[in-house]
Amino acid sequence: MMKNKMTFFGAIERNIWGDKINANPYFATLSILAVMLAGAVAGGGRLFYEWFRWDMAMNNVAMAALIVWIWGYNVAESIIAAEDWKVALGRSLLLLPVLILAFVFGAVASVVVICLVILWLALMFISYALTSSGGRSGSRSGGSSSDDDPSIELSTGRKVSGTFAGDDFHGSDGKTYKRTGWGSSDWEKE
Amino acid sequence: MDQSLFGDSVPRKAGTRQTVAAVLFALYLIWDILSVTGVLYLMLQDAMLTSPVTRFVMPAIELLLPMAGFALLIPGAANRATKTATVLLSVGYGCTVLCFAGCALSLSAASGEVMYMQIEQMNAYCRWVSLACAVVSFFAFSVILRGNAIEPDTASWIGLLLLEAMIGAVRSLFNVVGTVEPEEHPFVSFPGKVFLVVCIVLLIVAYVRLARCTAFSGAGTDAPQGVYSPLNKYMAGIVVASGVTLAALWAVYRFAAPWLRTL
Repeated sequence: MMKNKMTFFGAIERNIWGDKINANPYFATLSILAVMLAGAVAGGGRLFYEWFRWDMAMNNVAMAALIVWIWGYNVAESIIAAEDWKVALGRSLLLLPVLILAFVFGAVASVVVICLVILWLALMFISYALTSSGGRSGSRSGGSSSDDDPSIELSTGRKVSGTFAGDDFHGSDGKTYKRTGWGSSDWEKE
Repeated sequence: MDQSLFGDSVPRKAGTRQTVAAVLFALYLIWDILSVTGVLYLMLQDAMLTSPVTRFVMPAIELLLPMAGFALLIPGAANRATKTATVLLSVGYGCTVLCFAGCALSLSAASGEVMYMQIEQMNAYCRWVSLACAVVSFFAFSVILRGNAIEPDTASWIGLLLLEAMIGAVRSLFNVVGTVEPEEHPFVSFPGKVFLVVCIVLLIVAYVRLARCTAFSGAGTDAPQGVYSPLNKYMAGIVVASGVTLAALWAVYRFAAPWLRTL
């Protein structure tokens, strides 16, 4: 849930296009944040100079080119990830005004946006780390934690796929396996 | 969706090769981050300022890492198509290493003072070879994606590797948008460098996912018919997106720049 909120554009495109798009959940969101940061730095340049004597002067042409370049990458990802050209075109056309609005918002809100982006990146990293450690602890308890195809490894080295049911594992071979220890191969047939 | 960093579990023997390859890719990209942020330049500035040869030696050494990484993955390729694609990737990086190394040797062997024109000529050679490597890379990644039953989550990460190849292609062709002042280049600015660093961090995860995916686990099914055809959505996507990006950049520098400079 936290990961979905952190990768908000991925959630939006899944709501609109469902399974027809398989884009990386982080790339578009991070693109939007990067453009927002560009706007914030461009808008906050004078403020940072007055407060900290930081020379943050941004070249307007460079910022416009950066937005176009980032949009271009997302066009490429739209085409790669979409099932058909209409979804790719729709995603690309949706992203262009979103990026422009993100830049304008960043320029207007400047300093506030910079703090928010730093906080967002930290939260995104934390949610990714929590999700990864949740997956690895699933493995330590003796099974693969893949949502798509859970499996266990027997003491003989054979792997069995199936579903977890409490402390038991119902294998796809019709047999039930019980945990005999906390090692990764400590499973035996009942 | 399983978002664990190291992807699916793999047999131990293949896993060791795959893990070492993943480490090599990660080192290559960490080096890239040091280069983008300027840290590498600070560390080597004495060498770089005294000799132009260093500018060609450093990329040659850096590109040895992905070359070796892909070479390690070749034995574990799941089918012939994946093996071919991995060989192409390794050879592509190898050719780029040879180009940079050759330029470094040529400059160091030159008698007298090295002229700026000579360095620019060497840069042009390396740029064209890098472009060719980028084209080969996105064809190879498209073969890997189309030739294996990779789970959708991992496939979405591998898609970022095609974007990396596009970065190389667009950068090599950036001169077509016209003469650009150094301060107007999009990736010279602080936000541009932040975006590049963020992209490279994502690419580290993408390369680790690629190295440890089922396509290199040693066992798999034959690739479907027509896997080598360049007429697929991945190649079309990169060509269309590169063209659209370069056209849009040209429009910005040609039409919007005069107005933007007055703001």
